[in-house]
Amino acid sequence: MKIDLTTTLGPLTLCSPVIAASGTFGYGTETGTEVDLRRIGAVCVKGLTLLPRYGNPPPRLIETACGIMNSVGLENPGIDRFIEEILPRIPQSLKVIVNIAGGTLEDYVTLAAKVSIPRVSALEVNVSCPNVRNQCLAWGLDPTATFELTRAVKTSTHLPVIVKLTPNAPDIVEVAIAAEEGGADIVSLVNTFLALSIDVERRRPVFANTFAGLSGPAIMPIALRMVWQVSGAVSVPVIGMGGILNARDALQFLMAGASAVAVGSANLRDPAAIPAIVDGIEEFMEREAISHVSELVGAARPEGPGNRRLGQTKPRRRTGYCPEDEGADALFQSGT
Amino acid sequence: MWKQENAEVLEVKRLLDDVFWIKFKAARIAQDAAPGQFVHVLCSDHYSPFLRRPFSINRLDKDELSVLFKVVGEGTRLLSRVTPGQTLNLLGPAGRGFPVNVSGAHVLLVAGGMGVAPMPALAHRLLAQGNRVTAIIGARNARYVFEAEYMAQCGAEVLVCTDDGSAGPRLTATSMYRELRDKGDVAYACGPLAMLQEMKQCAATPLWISLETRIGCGTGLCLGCAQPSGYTEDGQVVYRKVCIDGPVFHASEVVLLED
Ligand SMILES: Cc1cc2nc3c(=O)[nH]c(=O)nc-3n(C[C@H](O)[C@H](O)[C@H](O)COP(=O)(O)OP(=O)(O)OC[C@H]3O[C@@H](n4cnc5c(N)ncnc54)[C@H](O)[C@@H]3O)c2cc1C
Ligand SMILES: Cc1cc2nc3c(=O)[nH]c(=O)nc-3n(C[C@H](O)[C@H](O)[C@H](O)COP(=O)(O)O)c2cc1C
Ligand code: FES
Repeated sequence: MKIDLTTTLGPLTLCSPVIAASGTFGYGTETGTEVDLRRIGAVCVKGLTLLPRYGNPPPRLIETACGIMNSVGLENPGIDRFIEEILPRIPQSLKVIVNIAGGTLEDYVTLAAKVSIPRVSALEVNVSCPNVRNQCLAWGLDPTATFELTRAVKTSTHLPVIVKLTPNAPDIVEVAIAAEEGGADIVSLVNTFLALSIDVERRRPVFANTFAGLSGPAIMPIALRMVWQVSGAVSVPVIGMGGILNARDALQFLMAGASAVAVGSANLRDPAAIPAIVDGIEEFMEREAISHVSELVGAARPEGPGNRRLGQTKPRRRTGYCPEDEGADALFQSGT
Repeated sequence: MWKQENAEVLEVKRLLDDVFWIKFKAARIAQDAAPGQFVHVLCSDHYSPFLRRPFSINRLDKDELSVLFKVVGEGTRLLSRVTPGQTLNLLGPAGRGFPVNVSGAHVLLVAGGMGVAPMPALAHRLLAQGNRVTAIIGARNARYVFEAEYMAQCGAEVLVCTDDGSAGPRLTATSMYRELRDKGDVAYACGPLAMLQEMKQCAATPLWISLETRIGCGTGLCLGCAQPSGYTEDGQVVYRKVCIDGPVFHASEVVLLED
């Protein structure tokens, strides 16, 4: 049986349904010939900002039970150096998704315009980084802000726009709907969960920024639940991620309604994790006589694949965002 | 460029209650490896701990390499329990090692505690290239002195000192280095941060140091291993990646902040 791994996400077509998640696969230039990049749907590069950022002081990464916490702080060379020096070095066989992060709306608009060049296949708007002391996370907490930001970015690029959602939003489904209404072609979720670790000897938080982002297998069941909910509420394709380690995990996200998945923390353990996951998906498809990835999408939903909008778990509406909301307030004030 | 290899454990030696030496057959990694580089070892099949653990390449011999380590937590505890015949997934050779393209020089190697781990391969290589090698090994006490015999057999002049005087003079590695520093052309050091800091302050020649910052991916993917390396004009700290820019740095390339 011929198995076709081609994955279509609205205007974006990938050779495989597994993407390397932003910040966990560098710029796709680090693994040389040791990792078979042709199996990777796309690399989503480390978040880029207008100006270079030097990042947060160490420690930036620690392990927790079944996961990792990071506070890298968006270290990156800035968009111009990325385009001039790094982009040309990314192997041609690898599709490039550029992840952008800004403080102001104007930052995002300028970034989007700058990366709208042929070598780039899509733009991922990071409205959800917990590790920088600016508004980046704040955008993604609020449906109205997300709506406006998405709309502004859409007008400044012809590239497919992916909006990356934060699980720290009071209601991620509302934010997803707002992104769709703002014109997002695709939504991706989840970014890391805001988390805390304390050094008991020093009686201080481990990370200089107090809070850090939790990822890895520890978050998978929650991420999966969110992907299920968002897939039921929007009609644009969803990229699901959060703790995927192997093909079975990836299949769960696809069956929950994601059209593709992204793998992050697992790359830190095994830089060849993605090709292995793709192999595993292919073996599963062979065993189950499935010829196309799209047949798996939403397969676990009551309404089954190809029919997923019938099973919306939430009415499609945008409720007003209440800034007094305590949960959101705490996140705003965390200073991360 | 690093590779991944399922390496067979050839030999495990328990040197002390908490110090182990493991020899692997890892042809692909060993053939390309240079002293001071590390192997990133998958200690658990069960994602606990989740990440690999970095260890300096200790000795190198054709298709074989060894690691020398102290048990300090879960990863090293699991590693201490492996048995010959078992295979472990290694990623390496990772990082940038010590500069070994020197010859005809007098090289001082300065090791504190487990910082002796990379020195045997380094001494071996430097001697093979016609250098004179003096290795200073500082340890807590006589029991914690490792690799002195091996390095002496390779042809290095080995000087041991301990905190309690149970082997050699009662001195730290750095204070012993101070006495000899004018005799060497270059110094290579590995050990606790405080020792490296002192070495940097008193070095009389070019000094290269190997750092043990926390490592995530070990391959430059995650930016988790930041080491302060300087400041921008407006006072921001600039970082280098220990896993690919290091772990060996010229002392002037890094800002060592204790704590
Ligand atoms: C390039 C490199 C080479 C190394 N080579 C050797 C070697 O040859 N031999 C050897 O014995 N060790 C070496 N180390 C150190 C070794 O990697 C660690 O001891 C090991 O990763 C600990 O793993 P664990 O799971 O046993 O302990 P963990 O459970 O990870 O840690 C035990 C305790 O130590 C703390 N800790 C761990 N790492 C650090 C750190 N970097 N800074 C501050 N606190 C920390 C943890 O918070 C915890 O409290 C090297 C490290 C690096 C970066
Ligand atoms: C070290 C590290 C750095 C990250 N950097 C970024 C980033 O720059 N931009 C972004 O949108 N997400 C970033 N993320 C989040 C991941 O892309 C992903 O959303 C998250 O880790 C959940 O997936 P996982 O559990 O598979 O890692 C980072 C995650 C990690 C672990
Ligand atoms: S440990 Fe990941 S970049 Fe160095």
